[in-house]
Amino acid sequence: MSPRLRHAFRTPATLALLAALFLIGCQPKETARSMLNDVGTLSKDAISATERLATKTGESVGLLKPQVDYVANAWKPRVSPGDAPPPEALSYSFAEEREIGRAVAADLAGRYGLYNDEKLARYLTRIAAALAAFSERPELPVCVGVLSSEDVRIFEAPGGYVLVTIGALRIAESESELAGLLAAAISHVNLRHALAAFDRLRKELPEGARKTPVLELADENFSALAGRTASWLVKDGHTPEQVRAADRAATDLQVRLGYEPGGLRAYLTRANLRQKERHGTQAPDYESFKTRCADLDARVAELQAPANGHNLSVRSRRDCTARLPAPRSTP
Amino acid sequence: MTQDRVQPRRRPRAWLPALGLVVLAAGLACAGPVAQVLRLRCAPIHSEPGFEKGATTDTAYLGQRLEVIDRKDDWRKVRYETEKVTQAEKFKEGWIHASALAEPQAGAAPASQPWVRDGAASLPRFDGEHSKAARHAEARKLKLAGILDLEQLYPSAKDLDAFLKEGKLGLYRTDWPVLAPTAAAKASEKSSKTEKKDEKAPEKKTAAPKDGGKQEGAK
Repeated sequence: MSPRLRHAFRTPATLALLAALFLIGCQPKETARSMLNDVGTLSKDAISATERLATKTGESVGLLKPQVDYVANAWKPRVSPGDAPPPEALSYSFAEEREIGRAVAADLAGRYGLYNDEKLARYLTRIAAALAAFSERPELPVCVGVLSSEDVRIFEAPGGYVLVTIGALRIAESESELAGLLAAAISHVNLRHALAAFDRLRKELPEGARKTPVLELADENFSALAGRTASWLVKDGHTPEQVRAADRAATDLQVRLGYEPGGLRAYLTRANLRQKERHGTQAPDYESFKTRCADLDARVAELQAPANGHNLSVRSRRDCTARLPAPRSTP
Repeated sequence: MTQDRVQPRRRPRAWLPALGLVVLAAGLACAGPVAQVLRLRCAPIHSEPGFEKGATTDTAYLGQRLEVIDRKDDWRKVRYETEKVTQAEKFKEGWIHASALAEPQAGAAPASQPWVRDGAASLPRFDGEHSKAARHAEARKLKLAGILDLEQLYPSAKDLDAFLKEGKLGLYRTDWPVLAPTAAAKASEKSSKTEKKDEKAPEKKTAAPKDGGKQEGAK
């Protein structure tokens, strides 16, 4: 070996080169590919960072319209005082809430009668379960029943029991409208409005019974309370603040899940029109209807959620409308 | 008195950049996949990088650990652990939108899935005749059975996923795509047209289209 070559082998640069060749030589294909990938990744990151910087600059200068993440907006916690569950309703355990709900739902089912169509109930329960999974109480096992009545009503008993009439289902023309209707009911359950009503009625009991835990109440007291809560629901004792809070929460749920944000608004409008067609006059609570619509519009505008047209009307026609009984002829 | 030593002339350190290159190459070669977690309630995992491309193969849930092994634009190819026992099926791969991912926080426990219950099986147990609701129903001569039947209709996690997928719901998107017919929809339209033609002319009936056959098979 010539002295020059021997010297070259001694220099660190050559050693480093040899080490590099050794490293590459160990796994020629994989190493080269991963290196290329990493270089590509780094360059892509740099490009995307530059794009983000340019977008932000454009937005700040006013050249670009800022993109609004309205789904994230819909996940932000609400701050209005009416949007929180009443504190007295929070003192009930889930088992108690569920037991109260069962009794109230059985009472309502006794008044109107249940319409037995398993596929229809299953479809509605799936919508409600999906909405509940995206709500503040994802653990809530919602179940939806159909009441044999042509009235346009929906009832929500504590613990996730929702009962909707055939008349109310007839009005909905798409799944987003159905989802809006169910989302409002689920929001009432989540905000524990009916449970708060139960608690208010319980405070009217005699002193001794008032402090007894719900599951240890005397049967006649419990039965009376459940019956009166059902009557409160039938009378629609919700305050305007409760309705407003539930409507706002329902709009959030629809946006989170990807339904048309104006589903509930569309449903209410159609229900109002149907009322006018049937009775020739505006509904007696037309003013509250107008206020509700304005509140819903305001919430959609607040979230900056654009109309997406995701109505799923075909599925609702197949699984809901087609399964309803023929309407009774009006005299 | 100080003696001024004549310092030997230093050679330029030509090996330094080469050593740097070597270290960089070694680092890049050893770099593994980056672990990230899902920051949303749930997000679909696609077979191809794109909402409209390929199919939705799986769903990731809030806090689920996903290893990023590749990336393409706003999409990340992730590897994740499944519940399967065999080593071959234990890990799956798919594409997920980058906006759904976040850096894992130190010490943060992975959140539970939003619906881990399996149907009505895990609902609070109803204690039959001894329950308050049962006695209330009895006192009022009501039938509680209808309400209890409703409880049994609660969907399983699998059912709910299928329901969401069918309706393209629950996906995290900053904007919904234009509701133009997708390739799959077009294919199904075509197949339905051919079926109609076949109905009109039964004697010229040919083999069913591939997509239709697949769908039927899936059902």
